[in-house]
Amino acid sequence: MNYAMALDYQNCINCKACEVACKEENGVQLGADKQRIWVGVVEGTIFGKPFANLYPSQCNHCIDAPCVSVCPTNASHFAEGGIVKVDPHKCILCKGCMEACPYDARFVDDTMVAVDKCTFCDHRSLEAGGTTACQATCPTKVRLFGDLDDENSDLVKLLKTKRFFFQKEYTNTLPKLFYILPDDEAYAKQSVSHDTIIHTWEDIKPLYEEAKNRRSKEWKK
Amino acid sequence: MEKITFAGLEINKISIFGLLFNKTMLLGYFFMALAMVGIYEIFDVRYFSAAANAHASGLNPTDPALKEAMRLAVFGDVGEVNRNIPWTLFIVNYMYMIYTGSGVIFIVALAELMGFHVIAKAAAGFMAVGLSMVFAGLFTIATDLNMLNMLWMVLTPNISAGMWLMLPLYCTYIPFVLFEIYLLLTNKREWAKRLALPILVLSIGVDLVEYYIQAKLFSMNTARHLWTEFPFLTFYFIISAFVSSLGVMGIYSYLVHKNKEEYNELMDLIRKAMLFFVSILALYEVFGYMTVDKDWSFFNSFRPI
Ligand code: SF4
Ligand code: SF4
Ligand code: SF4
Repeated sequence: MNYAMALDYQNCINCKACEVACKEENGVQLGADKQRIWVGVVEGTIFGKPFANLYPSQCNHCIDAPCVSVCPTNASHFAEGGIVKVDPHKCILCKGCMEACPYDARFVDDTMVAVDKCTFCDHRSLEAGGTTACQATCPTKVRLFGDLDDENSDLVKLLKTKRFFFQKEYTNTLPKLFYILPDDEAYAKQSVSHDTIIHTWEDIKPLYEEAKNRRSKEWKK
Repeated sequence: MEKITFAGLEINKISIFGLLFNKTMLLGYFFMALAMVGIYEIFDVRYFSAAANAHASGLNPTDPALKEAMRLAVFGDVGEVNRNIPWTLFIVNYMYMIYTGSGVIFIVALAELMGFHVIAKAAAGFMAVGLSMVFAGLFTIATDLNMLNMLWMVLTPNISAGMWLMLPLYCTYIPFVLFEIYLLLTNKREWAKRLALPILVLSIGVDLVEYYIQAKLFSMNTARHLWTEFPFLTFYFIISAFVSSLGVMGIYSYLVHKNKEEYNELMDLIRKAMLFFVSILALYEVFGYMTVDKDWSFFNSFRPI
């Protein structure tokens, strides 16, 4: 079991239903800064033509998660399927994990006085085919949650047919949010930067499998 | 002044009243009062400010605390830090105090090893200043952390985390420095003289380990590459700490040694050392910023003003 998510971000309409669903499902703290998931917006112009790209995002549940390595009390840990979680009662609020995360995916939950983050909704019977609240609620089917180890999962089937990229790949944390590159070349070009590396499932699979085998000993059952 | 001798230390005898109420302590009380206000403010925000989660409105919709929490969530700032700036002034102060304080201790040990005799006259005082700065740094970080969960540092330690290594580090470092100060103050005794050199060499080792662990802590934050990828971060920390430590040593010498015969020689030495380390630091900075992120240095050098 190696949970991950693909994001067909060209379909995102910035309705923020996913953000609301996440807050409601997980009882996330109220406040604009207190979010487990969010939609990143990049606006610009090309030759005077304006555009806005939307990148729905959340914790990447990185295989080489720096937030787990820096945590002094093991409050940040890997749960089953490589999901990165926080035990709030063990968190001493050193905020080292927030500093170490390249995606700013963590925040302080002031109701618990501990760090909080996305859990891939692991209470929703993922093994029995349950999915995350954000995927369940998205009206345009941006998100697809699944198991990278299962060749027959919808996720792997999708990754086999598309090209994709990761955000901030250069930080080498092996993130597991796969951003699906739009089929339309012009749109694809406008939504990735010149140094973004584009991958296919064949080229990335060995790397992710090797990393999973290396780190999965730390994953709690 | 009458002296009490205790374990080889000669201590001035004064009354409890004289100890607690004098000019130096009054200044200390003033700063402690300021610290208490700060601690009150941060604890108030952390443990008692109105905060609610998304389930609260379903569970108890008429709760006045919920109303306040929602008002803050919409119009105000919730909590003590936000997600893109998790480390605040507490960390700045922690770093300044710890690095400068242990830098003073390191410099004194180095100067003694290199045979600068004038330092020996002021060594115990310098080390006490250094150690008090280390305490101030640890106190700052203790205020920043949620101490209620500290037990987990011992129960489920992550021994490869730089942050965790701070615990055994300071549990060893502080008694060690206290022992060094004790040796300096009692150096007339025969066994103290015999121990001086091995302890000095050991202390330099301990200082290096200290900076190594500090650098490990910061270099694990791979996301903030502008400072974590600085070449030889341990040495960068040492050099920059030396610069601020020499500043503190200069102020201390001015306040304590001004009317003593060693003053001029002491200040001269501090000035020369300062010039030396500032020059190295300047080279380090230029070299570091040119190599860590070329886009960033290009942007800084050639952006339109
Ligand atoms: S995205 Fe951030 S919080 Fe999530 S696993 Fe990676 S480093 Fe940790
Ligand atoms: S803030 Fe909490 S979860 Fe994060 S590294 Fe520190 S102790 Fe671990
Ligand atoms: S629910 Fe879907 S379309 Fe709406 S903001 Fe979230 S990802 Fe975008």
